[in-house]
Amino acid sequence: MSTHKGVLWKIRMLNIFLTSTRRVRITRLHGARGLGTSPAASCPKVCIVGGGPAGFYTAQHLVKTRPDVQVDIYERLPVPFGLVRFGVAPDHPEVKNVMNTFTQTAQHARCSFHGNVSVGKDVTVQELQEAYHAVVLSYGAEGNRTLGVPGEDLAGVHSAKDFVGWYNGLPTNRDLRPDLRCETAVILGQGNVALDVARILLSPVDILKVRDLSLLRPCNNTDITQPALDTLAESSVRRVLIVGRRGPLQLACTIKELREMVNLPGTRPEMEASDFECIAKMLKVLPRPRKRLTELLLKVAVETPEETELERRNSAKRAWGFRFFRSPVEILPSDDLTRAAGIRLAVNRLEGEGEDVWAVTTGEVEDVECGLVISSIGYKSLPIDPAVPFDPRKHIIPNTMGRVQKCAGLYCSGWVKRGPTGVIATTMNDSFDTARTLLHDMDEGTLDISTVKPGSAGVTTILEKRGVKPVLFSDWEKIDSEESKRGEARGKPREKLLDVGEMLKVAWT
Amino acid sequence: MAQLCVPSSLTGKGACEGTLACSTCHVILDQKVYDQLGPITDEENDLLDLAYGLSDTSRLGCQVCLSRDLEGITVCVPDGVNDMRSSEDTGPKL
Repeated sequence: MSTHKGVLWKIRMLNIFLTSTRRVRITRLHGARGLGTSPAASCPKVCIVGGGPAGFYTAQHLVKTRPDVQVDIYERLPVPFGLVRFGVAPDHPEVKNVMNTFTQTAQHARCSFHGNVSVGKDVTVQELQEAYHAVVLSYGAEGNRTLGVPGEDLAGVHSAKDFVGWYNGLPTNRDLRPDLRCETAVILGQGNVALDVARILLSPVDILKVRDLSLLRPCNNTDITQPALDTLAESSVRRVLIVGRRGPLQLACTIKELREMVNLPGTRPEMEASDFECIAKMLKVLPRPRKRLTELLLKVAVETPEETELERRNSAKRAWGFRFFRSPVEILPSDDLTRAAGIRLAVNRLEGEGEDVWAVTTGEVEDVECGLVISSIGYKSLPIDPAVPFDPRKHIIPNTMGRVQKCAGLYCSGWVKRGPTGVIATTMNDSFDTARTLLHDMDEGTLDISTVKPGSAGVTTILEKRGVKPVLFSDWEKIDSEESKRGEARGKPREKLLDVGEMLKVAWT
Repeated sequence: MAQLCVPSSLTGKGACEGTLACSTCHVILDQKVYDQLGPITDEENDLLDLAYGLSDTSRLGCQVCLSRDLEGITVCVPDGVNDMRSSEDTGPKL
């Protein structure tokens, strides 16, 4: 048994029913944690800014741990769930199952959701602090890091954030209209978002339409927006290069996503064997996740495939590959100077050792012809309100264990706290950490919960004066129902509404 | 193990509802129990790679079929601690 912290559970079968369901009883062996709290003079009220995973997981932990706390979640859009709705790729519907947990949280007696409220504009953070005992900032990262190279503003250049927002129906990106009438697309960055973009660009449209080919039932279609599906069906993109400034051992994506690319029907991998010199001999010293990732990469990039795979590759009409040791220096314009026609890449070498290696330019450059450049080098949080400190270098809210520095009563969770990396489970753990910090402060008296605060009643008064009407969770359920209904007509799980005005109309019928 | 009646203190486990899209149901088993179970697929191993506190006898709970033979086993559910940052200033490496 491992020596690290964990809880032991004994599993006893209670019954085996005639159906295949088995009921088990679990008893905790030791390490039980009590749920009791000291009674408060008034009901503690917490406000959460941001209705994505961080907001919902923070809320979940708070309401489950203290039987008296009321949690209100404020979200700028009329619809909840943040990047689970707008970031997770449409061909990863299982990842979106977390929405069921979030729905349970929103429907909890001591939790409420208020959409269509823009904190910093419709209501200030200071006003929230007056209405609540604590405010948790969980509003994520709506910006993106820029390349800072000439040509970045040419047509045909998009941030991955915008491209992903476009195929996932984010209202701000509805009119992106990416031009896919080119043969080669270059993606800058090699994280999971870059691989999502590559996969969506190269997936046979039938897969985006029918998720599980072995079933071929209409109900298995994805929730990719119809305009995106139509555009992808007409796409000329046949080759996608996924570019990183460092080497194969610094590849930022995870193995699940790499394996999906390797197995993508109708595609073949094309990589430079020279990028992989000296990699094989490093394998034995690598930790397991990096080792397995590198083994798969080597197998795909360097090893001679066996016959069926060779045949499959030869008949594939689309290609993808990683390009390592390359940094963008300029996006090259077309003859009429209106759009991207290529990209100039600096050739790098690595300096440093072990975990700490960085790219240094060699002076050499290389031009690659392409008509689409997607920059996937990171999302970025933005400051929300002058009352909230913000680190302009790291682009996060300065904090210690979720407590905003020098601001009593202010907390943060998720990407705005730690930076925009990690999977949903990372954010979940982080949100639970912030909730624990907040609860600790309540228990210790560091956070004063003895005064009576108006909570959402106070905020509603302010919003009414300003002509802002919140979308409640039951209103979202009408949007949800309408999207599902529209999706059914097309054999999709939902057809997302793409316009805030339309969302509000449906919400308030 | 995905059909366990999970008490509320196991919050956060099974986030993807047993569809091999997360690693929150990570459990650590006794060597004997581990050896009894079927082989691990690449897909399960890919997700185990992301689990906190991965051990040589780790499995994803949602992939383990409970049977009479497993009556009375003890499993260790690792605390899902975020090991990426210390308690001091947090933020991305620049």
